[in-house]
Amino acid sequence: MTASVSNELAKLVTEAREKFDSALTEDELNRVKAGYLGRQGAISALMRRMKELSPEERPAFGQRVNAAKDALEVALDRRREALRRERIQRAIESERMDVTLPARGGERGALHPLRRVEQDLVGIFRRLGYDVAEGPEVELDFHNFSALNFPADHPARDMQDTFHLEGEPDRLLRTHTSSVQIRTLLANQPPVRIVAPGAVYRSDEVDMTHSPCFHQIEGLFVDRGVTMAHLRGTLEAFAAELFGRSVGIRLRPSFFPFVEPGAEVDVGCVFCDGAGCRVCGQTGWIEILGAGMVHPAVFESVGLDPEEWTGFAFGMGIERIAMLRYGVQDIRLFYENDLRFLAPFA
Amino acid sequence: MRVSWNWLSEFVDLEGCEPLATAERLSLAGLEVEGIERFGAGIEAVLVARVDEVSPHPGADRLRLATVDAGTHGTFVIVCGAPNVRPGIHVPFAPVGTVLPNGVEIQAASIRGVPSHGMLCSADELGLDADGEGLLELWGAMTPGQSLGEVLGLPDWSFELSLTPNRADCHGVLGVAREISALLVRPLKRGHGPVASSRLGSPRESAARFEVRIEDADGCPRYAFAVVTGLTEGVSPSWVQQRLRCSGVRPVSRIVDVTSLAMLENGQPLHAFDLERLSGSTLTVRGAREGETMEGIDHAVRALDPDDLVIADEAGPVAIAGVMGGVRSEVSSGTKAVLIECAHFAPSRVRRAARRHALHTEASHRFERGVDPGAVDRALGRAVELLVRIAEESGDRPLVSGDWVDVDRRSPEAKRVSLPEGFVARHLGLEVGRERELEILERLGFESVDGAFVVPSWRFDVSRPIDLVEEVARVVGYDSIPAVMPSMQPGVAVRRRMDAPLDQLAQPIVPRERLEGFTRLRDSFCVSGWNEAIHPAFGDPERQARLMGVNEFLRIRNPLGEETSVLRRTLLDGLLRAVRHNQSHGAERVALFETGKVFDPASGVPDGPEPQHVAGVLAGLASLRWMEASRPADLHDLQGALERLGHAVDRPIRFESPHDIDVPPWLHPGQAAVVCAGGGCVGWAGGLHPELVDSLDLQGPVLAFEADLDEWLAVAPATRSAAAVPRFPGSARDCALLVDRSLPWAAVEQEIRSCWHPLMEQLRLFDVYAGDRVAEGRKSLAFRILYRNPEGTLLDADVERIHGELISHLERTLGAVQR
Repeated sequence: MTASVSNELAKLVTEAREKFDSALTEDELNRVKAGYLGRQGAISALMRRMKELSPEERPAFGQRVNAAKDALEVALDRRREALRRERIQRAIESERMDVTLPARGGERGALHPLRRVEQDLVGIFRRLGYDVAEGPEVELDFHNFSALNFPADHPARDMQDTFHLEGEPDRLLRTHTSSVQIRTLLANQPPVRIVAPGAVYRSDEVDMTHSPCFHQIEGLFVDRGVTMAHLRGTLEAFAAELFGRSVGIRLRPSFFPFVEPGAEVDVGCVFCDGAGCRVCGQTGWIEILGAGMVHPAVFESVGLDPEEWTGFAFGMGIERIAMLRYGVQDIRLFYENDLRFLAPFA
Repeated sequence: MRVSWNWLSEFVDLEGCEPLATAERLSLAGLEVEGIERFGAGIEAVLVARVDEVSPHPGADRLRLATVDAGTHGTFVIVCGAPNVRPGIHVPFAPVGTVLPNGVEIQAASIRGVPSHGMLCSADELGLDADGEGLLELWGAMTPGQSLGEVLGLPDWSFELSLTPNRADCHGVLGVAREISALLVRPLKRGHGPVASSRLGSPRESAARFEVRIEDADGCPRYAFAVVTGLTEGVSPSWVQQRLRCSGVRPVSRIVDVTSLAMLENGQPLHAFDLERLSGSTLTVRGAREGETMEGIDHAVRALDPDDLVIADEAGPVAIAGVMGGVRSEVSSGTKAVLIECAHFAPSRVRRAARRHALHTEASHRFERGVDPGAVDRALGRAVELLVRIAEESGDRPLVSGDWVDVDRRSPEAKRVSLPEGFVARHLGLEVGRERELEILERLGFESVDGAFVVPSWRFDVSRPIDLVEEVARVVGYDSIPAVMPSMQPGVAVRRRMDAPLDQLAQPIVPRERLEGFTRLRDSFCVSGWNEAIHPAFGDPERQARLMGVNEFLRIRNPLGEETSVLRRTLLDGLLRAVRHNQSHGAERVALFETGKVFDPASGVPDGPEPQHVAGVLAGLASLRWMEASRPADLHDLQGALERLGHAVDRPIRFESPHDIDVPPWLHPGQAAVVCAGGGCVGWAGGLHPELVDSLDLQGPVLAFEADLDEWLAVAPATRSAAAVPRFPGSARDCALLVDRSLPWAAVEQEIRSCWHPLMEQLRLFDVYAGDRVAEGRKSLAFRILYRNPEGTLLDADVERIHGELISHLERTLGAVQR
């Protein structure tokens, strides 16, 4: 009896091992395992036959069955691990992908180049502690001209050909962002320092460098004891930030009715480092902005005492800087909104 | 304005000065030299020759043989093809061996069998005048064999000055000479003061034949004239012509050229009347009378305005003062006697007249800016002197009559400006030193009297101490001002002025939150693959009306064209044009957004608000990436981008059906959604009306939206607080309802929410189906509700009951059937 049970056990173990090894999937292996090691499995069935043995034989048989079970568990684990590895290997093979294909939903649109420049310029001055201000594009003559020391019937008004509104002699499309200087000083107590970006309008004939609508950014700094040296210091810092290195600036006397002394400001040509090239017209300098000390008449027109307050103002064309920076030859490209023009600014 | 270097050197000592360096110095002092032209370089070897005889060329019909006399250089026979070659004229002669400015070397050559010993030249060949055809005929006093350069006053340089409106004083050679004298510390030469000529007597207020009556002394504080007779009008001597060319002025005839020369030299416009064509014996300076007209020398007849200042004789106006003369008294080829006017007219008066009549002349340009009233006599004296000299050189025997009149009604008070000590340093941040300041100002003509400076009569731009600061700064050079960074106490708080006028209180300073909102908004669009567009605010009234269904606009009085004659009320006009532009260039996907102001005429107040809008258009493919390359963009793509936008600015939006609100005309009536944020409507989104897709020639479908950013950003930002993490498991129930195809999801959702049970936690729509598998006119909406008891274990029976009640409610109220 003992021998027959023992033989059966040995046969069972051999058979189970073979079946484990021939199972092709982990599921199949689990089914096979249940047939041997489960509660209703062959080993359990053999165990239940222990009562056929004499009490003396039982411990030894028990030990042999347990040893066989352990051996089968080991064989099972080994086979399971092998199958798992095979499965992962298959997965690796079958899940190969072309990682060079373009991704889904990653396309980025472009910020308009004028906006990029505006954001950069505003950013520089915000870091220098300036507030941002804005004013309306349809302005009163007062804010755009009279308060800025452009008398009526003065040729200074010819410097800026103006669009007027029909039926409203006092209203016009602002010709510069300098109108925001007046609004800021009327509403706020100095010290003030602001930059004011925005659209401006002049009835110029349209060509490669002129558009009836363009964009400017205005700066105003008013405090006690502000001098032209402060203007120069500020503009030098600005130019270094904008061009990423110290480029050097040059102030030339010029005329804007709302500043005195007035200046046009050049930066050293960043294309030729001042040696002279086509962009700078062989001069080594590129004109980028107008500036000056706030005219006492401007302080008077907003009810501030020019004996107490001094200040400087500056203004520049955003298109001009964008054309220099991005190599745009024709200003009209900015308003056509051709996607092929915009795409590189993504 | 163009200025001749040689002419300048008649007034200021330029010995040893280099023209290019001088130009640079002028530019850095505020007189920008925009261009420099060299005249007469390379004509040193060219001589004056007189043509003595012209005979036919034996071998060529169009060539002739000219025998010319070149004085001590000899007599030469030249083969010449110019049509104007004739005996008696003086012409430029380039002897054999001369290299002309265009590089051509003159060689002894035989032309069609006849030897030619040099060349007779045109102005073009000498580089003097590109339009100069035929031989350059020389006029005036000269002798054969004389150097051409000597006769013409060459070589010379011509500076092109770009003058700012404040520098009226530099509209003449004399003014520029004064400036150079101050900048380079060079003495002025003789003749910058009054003209002393023995030919001219002393001016008087009245004269034998003509007198002047000034009725409007504000408009004309000074009027002078002189009469010269015994003239014949003709071509000016060559040196005059050349000087005019160097000054950018085309020579006309002697009398006209003389008034030009006197103006170019002194900055003072003059006008010559033909004496014999003036009526009566009095010139009156007065305002034009109602109904008066005048035919100008441009032959246009103009109705005059009472504000126009005119010069009138007894028959009516003969000139609009300072702007243009009349054709009736115009100098012509038959003129034998002239009355030369030299006057001072008020700048604003001349400007108004010039603008009213749309005339911009050399004279009005100068008068508007201000002409030195103290130099009227000098300019007139120079004109008479030149006229006499040139007439004599041309063989006339001119006579300056006793009629030299000067009526001066100026206020004798000169402007005085003080310059307190320390004032310059206080504004420049640079110590110049009192002595240096005085020296600079005196060199510029400011006389120091009793601690103040007397402003010279030619400086219209100086009236305040700060103007003197600029003068000092210009001369010491802006580059000597140091660079100092102003001290920046970070975050000086903006303080409203307590004394600000009430109607000016709109705060221009933009809150940081709004600035950052704009930045995030643009970023959000770019991340969604949209591109930013920028259009000018001009609109086409017809197209704007079609989009908006309104006809009221802010209109521009002087538009560049009908298409840009109003201010936009919608950003979609520009964006749809961009769609058309890009589609016509083959764009497969157009996704553009724009932020900008719109202009509503009904805002009423002259200083009204300009709402800031955001709008966008989407057309073509949903994506250019390969996996979605065939799917057209639809409303849901647009709405997704807008929702992301709402989150980006922290003011989430939702879409609602318009119900009974009027849908704007640009929207597809069946695809119109109200964009809601907070409690209200901030904009519209949907398909573009098929009618517009058609008429604007677009490839549809096109999706679009427009929202009022001011209203959107005025909504309170989303608030956040922590939620308890559920500790008990939930249970989900799915449901597919068949409903009428036109029933919006929002209506279903509203019904579900109306019987929301405390055990319900979440509702999610996961499928919408309309097609073969459901009945015609129906659609299936599949949603999932998550149930959870936050306080304990959820009982299946409870969920079944609550869910069952919900379904029956929906079936009852919506006419729905569960699938």
